[in-house]
Order: sequence, then C-alpha cells, then structure tokens
Amino acid sequence: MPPSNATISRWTGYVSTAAHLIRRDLRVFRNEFWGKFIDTGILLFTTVTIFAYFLPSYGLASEYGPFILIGAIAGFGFFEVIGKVSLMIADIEGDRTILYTLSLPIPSWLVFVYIAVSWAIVSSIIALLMFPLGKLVLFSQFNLGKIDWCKLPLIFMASNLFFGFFALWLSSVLKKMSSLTHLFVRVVNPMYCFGGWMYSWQSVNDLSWAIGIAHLVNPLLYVMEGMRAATLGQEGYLPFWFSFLGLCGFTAILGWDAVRRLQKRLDCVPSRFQPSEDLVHSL
Amino acid sequence: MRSVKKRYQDKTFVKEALKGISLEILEGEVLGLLGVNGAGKTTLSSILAGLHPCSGGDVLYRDESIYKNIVSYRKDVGFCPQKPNLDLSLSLEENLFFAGRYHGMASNDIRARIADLMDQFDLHEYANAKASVLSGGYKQRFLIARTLIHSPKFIILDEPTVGLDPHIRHQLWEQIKGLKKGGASILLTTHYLDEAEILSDRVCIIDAGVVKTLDTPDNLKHLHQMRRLEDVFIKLIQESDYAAK
Repeated sequence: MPPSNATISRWTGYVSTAAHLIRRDLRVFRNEFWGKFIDTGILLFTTVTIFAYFLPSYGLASEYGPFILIGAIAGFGFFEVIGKVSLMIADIEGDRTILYTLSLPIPSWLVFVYIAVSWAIVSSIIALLMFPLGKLVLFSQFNLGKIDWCKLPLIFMASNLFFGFFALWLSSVLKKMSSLTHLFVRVVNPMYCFGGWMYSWQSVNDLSWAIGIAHLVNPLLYVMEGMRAATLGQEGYLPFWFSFLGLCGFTAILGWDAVRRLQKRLDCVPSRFQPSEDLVHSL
Repeated sequence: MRSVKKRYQDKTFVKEALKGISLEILEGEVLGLLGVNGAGKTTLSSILAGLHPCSGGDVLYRDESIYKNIVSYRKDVGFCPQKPNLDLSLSLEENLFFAGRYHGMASNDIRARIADLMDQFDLHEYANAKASVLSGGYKQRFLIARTLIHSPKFIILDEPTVGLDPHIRHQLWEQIKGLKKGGASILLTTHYLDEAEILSDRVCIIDAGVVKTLDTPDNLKHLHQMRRLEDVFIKLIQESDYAAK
C-alpha cells in the first residue's frame, strides 16, 4: 500500500528539519574550514612525502606513495570524526545543549542520525580536498587513470558515513570524559594500526590466514581496502563489493546500537511510547 | 497531566522524582510552578516539553495523549530551558533563522518574526553579533525570544530569571506579561516567590514529587492567612518536612 499524503507530509517535515540542522552545522564549519584544511594538508604532505620520497631509499617499493596516500586520506577522515566524540561527551556531561535539538519536531532517533550524517559530511569535505593535494605531492606516481569513478564515490560516502556512525557509537558507549584517553589507546589506535592503513589485507593473509581472518572483524580494514580497490585498481585488495557491503553492514549495526543507547542515556521519548494505561484509567 | 510519575533508576538506587502528579494548565493562563531544589520542577517541565517520557500516568494535550504524536505536539510547544543552549558561534539573527527553519517556517515569515522579536526583546543592537558576546541577562532574554520564534501555543519557561540582577528580572517580567496578553499558556518554573506572585494566575507548589497545593496566589494567602506567597510556601514546606520526619 502506498504511503498516505499525511505520512509523506510528515516525513517531508522531518527531512526538512534534519536538513536545516545539517545546514546549521555546515555554517558553523565554515568558520573552522581553513584552519582544518591547513592542518590536514600539512599532515598529508609530511606523511606522504616521507613514504613516497624518503623511505624508498631504504628499499620501500616506489608505488608505496599512492598506497599510503589513500590510507592517509581515509585515516584523516576517521580522526576528524573521532575528535567529535569528546565534544559530544562533554556536552552530555555538561550543559546538554543537545536537548534543544531533541525538543524540536523530529523523532529522537532522527536527531542522532542527523548528528552522524553531519559529522560524515564534514569529514568528507576535508577528505575530498586531500585528493588533489595528494596528486600535487605525488604527481606522476598517482595515476588518476586507475580510478574507478563509479566505485570511488560509493566507497567514499560509505566510509565517511561509517566514520560518523562509529563516532556516534563511541559517544554512546563512553560513560565519562575521563575514559576518553583509554578509549583512544585501547580501541581507536589499535583499530587504526591494524586497519590496514600501512599494509594490505592480502599481505597479512599471505603471512597467516588466521591473522587475515582476524583482521576481517576490523571495519576500518574495509574502508582501506575498498578505497584502494576503487582508486588503485582491484588487484591485491579485497573484492570491492565485499568491502563496500561489509562497511554498510558495520555502519547499520553500529548506528542502530548507538541510537538505542543514546535514546536510553538521554531518556528520550521512544518512537512507539505508550503511557501506562492502568494509571490513566485509575483516575 | 494525569497521575504523572517519573522514576530514575540506577544499579544502586531508585529515585521517584514525580509521584503521580495531576494538574491542568488552562488556555491563556500563567501557571507558576514552585518548589525547593530537587522537588521535581525541572523533571516536570521536561516531561511537558516532550523531552522525556513519564514512567506512569499520561500527559494530555487537547484531550489526547501527547505520546500519540509527540512530534506534532512539540510544534505547539516552546521550551526555554534553565541552561542557555544557544549556538554561540552564530549571530542572533542566524540563531533565530535556523530555529524558525527547524519548525518548518518559510523564510519570509521567519524574517518578519525576527523583526518582531528583536523589537519585543530590545535586541536590535545585537542582531548581527555572535551569541557568545551577550551578557547573562541578554542571553536569557534572547533564549526566550528563540523559544517564541514559531509562536508556540504552550510556553515552558524553566527558571528564566535565575541568576539575573533585579533590574533585568523586572524587564523579563514585563516580557512574560506581554506573552500572556498574546494568549499563550505559560508554565513558569521559578524559585522566586515574588516573581510567581506577580506573574502567575495560579501557582502550584510541589515538594518531593507531589503537588502540595494549587490555587490562585490570592486564594492561597487567604486560605493560609498569610500576607505574602513566600510565607505560604515556607509554611507548606515546613509542614512537609515535619511530616517526613
């Protein structure tokens, strides 16, 4: 049965509110843009230069430059979004300005989805601008002809959405600000280091199939493998669609769990909340 | 509100913040909600704002549970929280513009409404300034202005004058009186008894999650043979403390 006009109108209203919330975030981001762009550009320049031009003199393969560039671009997006976790926790522990957003005429689950999407958009803007910068640094080493222009936007969007929802999930599981350092040292850093930003899954699997299988539980691996398969060619990486679907699966599961946890933590009105009838009727 | 209860539960304790509160807010009235710290005022106003669910009972708006369509109910509510939650990096105009957009208002309507609110709350001077530069009094004033952007029918003001100097408090009182003239129903949560006496049509005193009394300020003073509402409040709270002991 097609949705009724009332349902369509209601959903249009929700989407419009969420879109304006994102627009507001982008307006705020505009003030920070150049600072972030310069910081990320410097990080990219230093990292890629060392791997592409200095380390080959120690025997590193010369094609390692483009390989590390893609890993670095994905990694910067990841850390850009992870930085938002501390802001969210500080807000929940402090002024709870998020309650204003939760008092707006949209369902609470959509507020959390909007937050993740907004973070994803911000990280993707920064990451997107790193591609031309990377090309400038690597120049002929980075062959644009190998890019699959259909697959790259897909995996790029999926990766950034994953970062947004993963950061939301971290915000939902982290109980207090003081645990943030533990989170970085115990979860984020190992996840990043073993997420294949400096090596491919194939190389680990060649070393030991057990370690290869163990790597598949790390969602960051799908970001790195998928991005490289779309940018540098499929050979030597996990199949693109396997990485893409794996990433979508992780995003959906973590997003669902994050929304559920945050709704509980902030004591939001659930979508299908029913007041207790017995008490109403006892009057 | 019908028998509204709110329980907070942790691994180690269970707190019953509201123990079955029933009260009615009439159209066009200012209901003052009074109580000591921890009495349940903010919990009650958050539930009425549709922010938190109640643990028991129900909240009715126009004879229908607000939980049937909480999103639609929120369109009619303006909630001004205790702590300012403005976008400090945006200008006042931008703050108001986005607030209007969140409520589905058209650009032209928002611009006209912004001009009205800037007049009403004497904020023209700061229209293009960032919210971060405002003093405490102006911040509070602006917070109320933002609450009103979508012309809500039911306004919840949670301790709007807390921490402000007497001069600014009196200015805000005039603005709250103006809102009442506009026909909105207002729930005013406050610690200041003089404020409640001057602004409220009726006052509701709650203590430890229950309604102690609900009447007009004059009736309460008459009933308890007191000259000031503050004396009535102190008497009722002392009685409550004595009964608890």
